Amino acid sequence: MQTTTVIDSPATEHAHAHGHTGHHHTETFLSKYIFSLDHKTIGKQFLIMGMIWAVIGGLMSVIFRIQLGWPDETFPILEKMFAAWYTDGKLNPEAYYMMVTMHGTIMVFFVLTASLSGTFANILIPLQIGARDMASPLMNALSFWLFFTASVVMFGSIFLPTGAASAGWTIYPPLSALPQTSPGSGDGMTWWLISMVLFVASTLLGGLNYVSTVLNMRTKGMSMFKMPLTVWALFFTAIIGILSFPVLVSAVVLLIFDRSLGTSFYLSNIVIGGQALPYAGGSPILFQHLFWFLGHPEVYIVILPAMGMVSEILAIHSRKPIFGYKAMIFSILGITVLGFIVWAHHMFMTGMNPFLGSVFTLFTLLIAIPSAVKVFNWLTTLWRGNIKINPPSMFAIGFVSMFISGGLTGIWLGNSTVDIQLHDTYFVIAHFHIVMGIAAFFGMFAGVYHWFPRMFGRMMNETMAYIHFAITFVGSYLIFWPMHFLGLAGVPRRYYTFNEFEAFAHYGTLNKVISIAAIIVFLGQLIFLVNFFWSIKRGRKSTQNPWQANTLEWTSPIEGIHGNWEGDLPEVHRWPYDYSRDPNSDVDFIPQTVPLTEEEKKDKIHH
Amino acid sequence: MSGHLTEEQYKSQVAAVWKSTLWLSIITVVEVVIALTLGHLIPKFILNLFFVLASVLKAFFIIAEFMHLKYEKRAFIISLGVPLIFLVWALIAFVVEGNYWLHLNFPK
Amino acid sequence: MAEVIEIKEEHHVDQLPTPNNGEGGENSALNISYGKTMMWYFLLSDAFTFSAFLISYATIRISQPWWPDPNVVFKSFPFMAHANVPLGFVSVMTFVLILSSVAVVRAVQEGHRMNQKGVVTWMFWGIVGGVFFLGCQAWEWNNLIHEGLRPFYNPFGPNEAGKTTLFLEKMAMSPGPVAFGALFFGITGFHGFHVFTGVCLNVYGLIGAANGPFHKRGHYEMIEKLGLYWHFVDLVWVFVFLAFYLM
Repeated sequence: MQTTTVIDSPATEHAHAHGHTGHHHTETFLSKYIFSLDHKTIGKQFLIMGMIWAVIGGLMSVIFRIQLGWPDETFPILEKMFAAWYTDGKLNPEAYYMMVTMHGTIMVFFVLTASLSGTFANILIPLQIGARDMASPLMNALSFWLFFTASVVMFGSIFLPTGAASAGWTIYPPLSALPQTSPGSGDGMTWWLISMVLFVASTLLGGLNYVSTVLNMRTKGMSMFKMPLTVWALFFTAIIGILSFPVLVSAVVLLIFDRSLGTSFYLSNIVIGGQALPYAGGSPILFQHLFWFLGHPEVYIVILPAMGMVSEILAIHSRKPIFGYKAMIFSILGITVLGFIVWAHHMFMTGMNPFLGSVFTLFTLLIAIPSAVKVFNWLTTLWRGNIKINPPSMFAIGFVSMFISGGLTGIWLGNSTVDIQLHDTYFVIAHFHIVMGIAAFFGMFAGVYHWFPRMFGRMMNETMAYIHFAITFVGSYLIFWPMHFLGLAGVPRRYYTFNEFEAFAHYGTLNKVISIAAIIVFLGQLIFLVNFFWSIKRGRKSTQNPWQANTLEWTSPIEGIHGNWEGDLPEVHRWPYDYSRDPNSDVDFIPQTVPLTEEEKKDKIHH
Repeated sequence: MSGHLTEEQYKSQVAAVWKSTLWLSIITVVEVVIALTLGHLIPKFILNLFFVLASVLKAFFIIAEFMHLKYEKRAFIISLGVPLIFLVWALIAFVVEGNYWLHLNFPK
Repeated sequence: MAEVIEIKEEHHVDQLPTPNNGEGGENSALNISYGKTMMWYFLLSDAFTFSAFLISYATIRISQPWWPDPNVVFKSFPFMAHANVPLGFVSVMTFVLILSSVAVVRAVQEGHRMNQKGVVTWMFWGIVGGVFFLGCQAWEWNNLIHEGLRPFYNPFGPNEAGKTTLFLEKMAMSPGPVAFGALFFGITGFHGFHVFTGVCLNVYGLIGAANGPFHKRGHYEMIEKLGLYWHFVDLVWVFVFLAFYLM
């Protein structure tokens, strides 16, 4: 009964579907790998770009960690490599601030926002909901290329004569608004702002696509409450992006006006070098409010995809249904909603209205509830499970560990009274690096190890993966755990050196330990890169369903074809977590495409 | 939504649109007249409250009738309406802050 | 959409798939096509951009001890040199934008009836309204600039120009709060940019409707999507009008 027809990608009009038969689309290298409209290829493009950026961002952290660990030493070899940033073998203070700023910007926006959800939303959403592609493949490709352009602009700014932006990744005015305040606030800042507007456009195109794909393109039987938690998490991530990034655009546009048109949105009562500037009536705190209205939801954009993937991976590798499927969904929803109303907890020490601060403290502490629901659900999913030890499950468990360690200190920092002591110290650095940096990376690694066979048809090398895991897990704690103590002692963040301060000088050894650990962890990531690229070519061939998972992506041909499925789309009959359902059966998983048995139809638990 | 309307449906929809237009015009005229005549008689707070409510009413006509949202599925309307709560809270928090700056910078 | 997906499957040409899903699978959760879903959520996103601007406006305005009275600032009318018509001109602008929006609604309705001529006519009037609005805005900007309003200078205020009122000298050079000009040009400019984009999109819609590609598709969904954007521009104007001219 099957006839060969060609239908356009879903975004084109249906009328085009008439009457094309047997047409073969020829593909060149450019159309297949570079300007591809296929969601799987675009996902891989995001992943590779993310890796490049992670290496660059990580290298920057190594450079400033060397400065912090050995502030008195000179490094002629580094001066040879980065001549523009070193004088007499020592890192210039301006270059140090540039490194810190670029490390934050690159890691937060390009790696953990664009690349994390870009990779997995693109690859997993259509495959897991049973769609041929995204709602609009063209917009999807545009999203990647805008991200690419944005990142090229950002990278280019590093080579400007005055250097890249150096006002911190939060680019607070007046430092970022007035070019005379620091070299990086000149052209580098302008390029930063241009790059960020392009980046927001990219996020928006991607996010709109993900949302409408999830809402409209699900295959037969795939109701919203039969979707895997990965898709739910990516769905809410996209919604957060759609609602929060436009506010960054507003903040950036007003900052551009302040910089170029002489307006005073964020500026007032400023004297530089004895000269009073004619700005009046604005407030730098206004920028902080606007920035953090994006900035706080942003951290959930970073962590939610990791949470979703970890939920999925933990259930699969402990061969148990996820504990509290709906509780997971509603806690994602709760985190999404609460994430939008707590932004000013980043600003307790700015001189904002203290009464407002107490309201924000209340809302902030409420986030502990959905977060704890998720943590306990992961733990209870693992509880008495038939846990398979393999790279994805190790990284997923590592994620849970990191999320707990970093999340608990969040409760400290959310209290405005405690924050008075801890604000802008290394305690904050430790908190957010563990909870949204390392944890999100662990989720990302778990995802890459788990879906690598789906992406490339081969398995990654396990030995290298275990070494990678051990170095990353132990090393990350070695970097960030001591920082809590530095922070409690009041050591401030973003300082170029602590030698000058009697109170902090005796932490020199601790700083050395942190720096050594940072360098080792950075080198450890190279093992992952080698493993990744080696396995693409040489890895063991994967079977169709290597993890014995239930979700739809493992029913689609593993070599990856346009349109994802030959013939009809699969039909979904059950939720994605039927693991170890029948103790007497040899097979401990029931894919979503298997129809319900008669007994199951009577038992209405999961339908 | 998609597809082809009967003549009666078409006529009633056209009539609904013109009715909304009339309402929008009336509200705008009333707003301007009140701004011009009663501006100095009524306390500023009550006047502003009236303007805000009138604008929200105008927004309702545009969204419900012109943008056709009234005829969409309820879940869709909710999905668009709920995020606006964030804006309400943002407005409250920002204005409280602005008021606080006023008192910091210009103490009585 | 150059990329063509090749699949083998049973495909009934006479049974057109629903607009929700290319292959008639699970229906859309919200019973609305993905194109319109995208447009709606894009507009929601854009609403957050505008709201951020307007909320910033409210914050800055409330932090100022004094703010210009709109009835004093916006009182000029074209071709009436020394006329004193508070809010007169902006009322005309508002009315034109509403009528333009109505014209596009009518175009959408004619599209549902597959009445090509009706779509073209009403889209045309919608574009005329948009262009007229932009012209009005250009005139108003020009007029205010002539009166001395700049993003960094505000002649409408209680102080004498050049005198200082704040604690630092050489500050507060302008009689009124400088933020007024910046916010006015910034926000109406950003809105005007949206109107301009909308006019361009509507011209695209007009051409598509007049030349027939939309008609051949069997539906005028493109006009609906453009219409959503155009009404949104009108919607934003309601609040810009509220913030700058009424309050």
